Amino acid sequence: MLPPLLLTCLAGFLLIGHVLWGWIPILDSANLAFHEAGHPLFGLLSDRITVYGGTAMQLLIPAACAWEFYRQERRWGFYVSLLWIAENLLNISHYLADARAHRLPLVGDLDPEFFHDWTEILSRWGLLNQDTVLAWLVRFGAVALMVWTVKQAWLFPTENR
Amino acid sequence: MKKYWLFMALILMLPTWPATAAIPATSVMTLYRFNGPLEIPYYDVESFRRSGPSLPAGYLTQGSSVIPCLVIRDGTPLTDRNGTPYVGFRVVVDARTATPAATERFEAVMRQRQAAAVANHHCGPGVRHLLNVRHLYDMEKAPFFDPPPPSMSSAIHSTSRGGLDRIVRAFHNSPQCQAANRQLVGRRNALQSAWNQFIRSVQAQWSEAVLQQAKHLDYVMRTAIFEGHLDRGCNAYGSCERNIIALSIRNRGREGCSRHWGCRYAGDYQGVASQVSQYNIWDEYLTQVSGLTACFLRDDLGGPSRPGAGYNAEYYRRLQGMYAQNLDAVQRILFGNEQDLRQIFPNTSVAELKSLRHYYHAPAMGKCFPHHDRVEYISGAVARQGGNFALIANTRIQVGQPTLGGYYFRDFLLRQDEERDVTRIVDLYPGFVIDGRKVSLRTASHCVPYGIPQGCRFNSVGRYRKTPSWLSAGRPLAVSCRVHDRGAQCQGGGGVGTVTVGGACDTQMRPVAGVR
Repeated sequence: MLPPLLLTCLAGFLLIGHVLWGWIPILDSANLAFHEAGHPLFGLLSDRITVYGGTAMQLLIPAACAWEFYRQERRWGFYVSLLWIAENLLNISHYLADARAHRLPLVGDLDPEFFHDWTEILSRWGLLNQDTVLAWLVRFGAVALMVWTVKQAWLFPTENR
Repeated sequence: MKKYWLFMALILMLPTWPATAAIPATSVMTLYRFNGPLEIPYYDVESFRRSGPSLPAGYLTQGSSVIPCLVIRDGTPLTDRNGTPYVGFRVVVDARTATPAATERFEAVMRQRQAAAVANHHCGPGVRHLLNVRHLYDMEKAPFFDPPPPSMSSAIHSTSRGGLDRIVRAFHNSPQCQAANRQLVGRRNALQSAWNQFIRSVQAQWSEAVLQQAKHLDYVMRTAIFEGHLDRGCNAYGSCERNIIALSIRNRGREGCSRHWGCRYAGDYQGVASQVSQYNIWDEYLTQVSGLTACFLRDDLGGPSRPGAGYNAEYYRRLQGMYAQNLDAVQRILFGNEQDLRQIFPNTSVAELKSLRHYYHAPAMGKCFPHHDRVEYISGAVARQGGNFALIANTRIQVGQPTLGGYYFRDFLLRQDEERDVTRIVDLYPGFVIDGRKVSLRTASHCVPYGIPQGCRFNSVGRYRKTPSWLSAGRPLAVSCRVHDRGAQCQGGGGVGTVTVGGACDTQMRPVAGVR
C-alpha cells in the first residue's frame, strides 16, 4: 500500500504547493528551464511557433518520460510522470491567467506586454479577455489528471514487472 | 547517477525569480495630432527597413492608445535617418471601434504600466508594424462615455428655467444627443448632426428661430465650461471666466463676423464656438476624452453620488452646476443688448468689451524652465546602455555629460500645481545614454514669469511660460463680473459679489482687447 500512499501524498503536496505558493521549488525551476529551452528549439522550425515552444516543451519532456515508462511497463514511473504533467498544467494555468494582469516577472526582466507568451498567444487567437476562464479550464484538467492518476494507483497498485 | 546529480545541481542553480528590473516600462501612449488628419499611418517592419516610411501598411485613428516598444534589427532599434524612432506597438484602445469598456481597459493598462519595471523597451517577436513616435503622446485621460440612460424621456424637465434652457435640456435628454456620443471618433460633427436632427424632430413644438438660438446657446455653454478651468467649478473667478469666454464668442460672431474665426453668418455662435483652430477643446482627440460633446444635462445624471453607480456623478453634478450658474448671463451676453453687457461686466466700457475676442490662459501655454540648465523636451529618441535600448518619448530630460554617441541624462519631472510648477529631477535610466542627434541644448525664447510679458513684479515666480505673438498686439483688460460665488464644488449658497479677471498681472487668465 506504500506506493499508492506516497503517490497520493505527492499529488497532495503538488496541489497544496500551488495553492499556497503558486510555485513548487526545484520542480518548477526545472520546468522553467525546459520552457525557456523550448522557445529557441521550436524557433528553429518557424518564427511563428517560437512563442508556443515554451509551453510545448514543458509538456513534452514529462510526456516523453511518461511514454518511456509506459513502454517499459514501469507503472509507478508512469504515474509520477503523469503527476508531473499535471503539475506542469497547474504551472501553465498560473502563467495563462496572468496574460492581462502581468503580475508575474519574466526571465530577463523582459516587458510582459511584448514577451509574455500567453499575452501573445491569446492576442493571436482573439481570446485575451478569456485568459482567466481558460486558465481555470487548464487547472481543472490538471486536477482531473491528478485524481485519475491517484485513482489508477489505488485500483492497480501492483507493478507489472 | 553522476549525470543525475549534475542535472540536479543545474536545476538548483536556476533562479526561481528573475533579477531586479532597471527602468520603467513604456507607458500607454495616445495617437494625437492637433487639428490634424483623423487617420495616422503605420508601416510594415520589413518594408520600413527597405524603403523607410514610404508605403503605409494601414492606419490607426487619432485617440487610439498603444504601448510602444523598440523594434531591434541587426542589434539596433529602427529609426529614421535623423534618429527619430519608429516604434512597434500593441493597441490598447482602437478609437475607431471603442465602446464604453475601453475606459476601464485604458485605466487598467495605464496602472499596470506605471507599476511595471523592465530591463529594456525591446519589442517581442510578434510585433510587425511601426508608428512614428512623434505622433504619440503620454496622455493620462481615458476615453469618455456618458453612462447609458435609464430610459428615454421627452417630458418637461423639472430643473428647466423655461425658454431656451428647456430646449437645451430636452436636447441633452434626447436620443439624438445619446447617438452623437456613442462612438469615440467624429464627435464634433456628430453633435452638429444630432442638433439638426433634434430640431427637425421638435419643429412642431418650437419655432425654427428659437430652436436655432437654443443650439447656439448649447454650443457656447459647452465651450465656456470646457475652455475654462473645470477645477474652479462655481467659484466667482470660474464663473466670470466663463462669461468672458462667452463674450469672446459673441464678439467674434456679432462684431465683424469672419470666416477665419468660424463665423459663417452674423450670429453664428455655433460656428465660432466650435472652430478647432480657435477653441482647441473641439479638437478630435480632446472631444474623445473631455465630455465636451456629452449629454451632461441629462435628468438622470448629476444627482447625489452613489457608490457603484458606474460613473462619476460628481463630475456631472459640477458641470450641471456651472451650466446653471452661467446660463442667464450667457443668454444675455449672446442675445441681449449693451445694457446687459454693462450689468454683467460693470467697470469696463462697452467699447472695450465689444473688442474683446482673445484671452490667454498662461498655465496652459508652452512651458519653460529658465532656472534649470540643459532641460530639453524630447519628442522621441533612443537611449542605450550596452545591448539594452530604451525609448525616451514625449518627456523632458536634463542633459548631462557628453559621451560617445550622446549624453547621459536624467528625467525632468513636472507637476502643475495651482500656483506653480513643481519640478523634480530623477535618474530613472541610470547608465543610459541618449542619442546625441536628438539633443539641441537650445534655450527657450520669450520665456517670462507666468507668461506675463511686462509690467508686473512678483516676489517669487511659480512658473514661466512662452507667450504667443498676438498677446502684445492688444490691450490687456481687467474685466469685472457681478456673479454668485457658489464655490468650487458648486454647493455654496451663492452670495452675489464682484470679481475681477485679467488685467496686466493676472497669472491665470488674461482677456485681451483690440487684437485684429
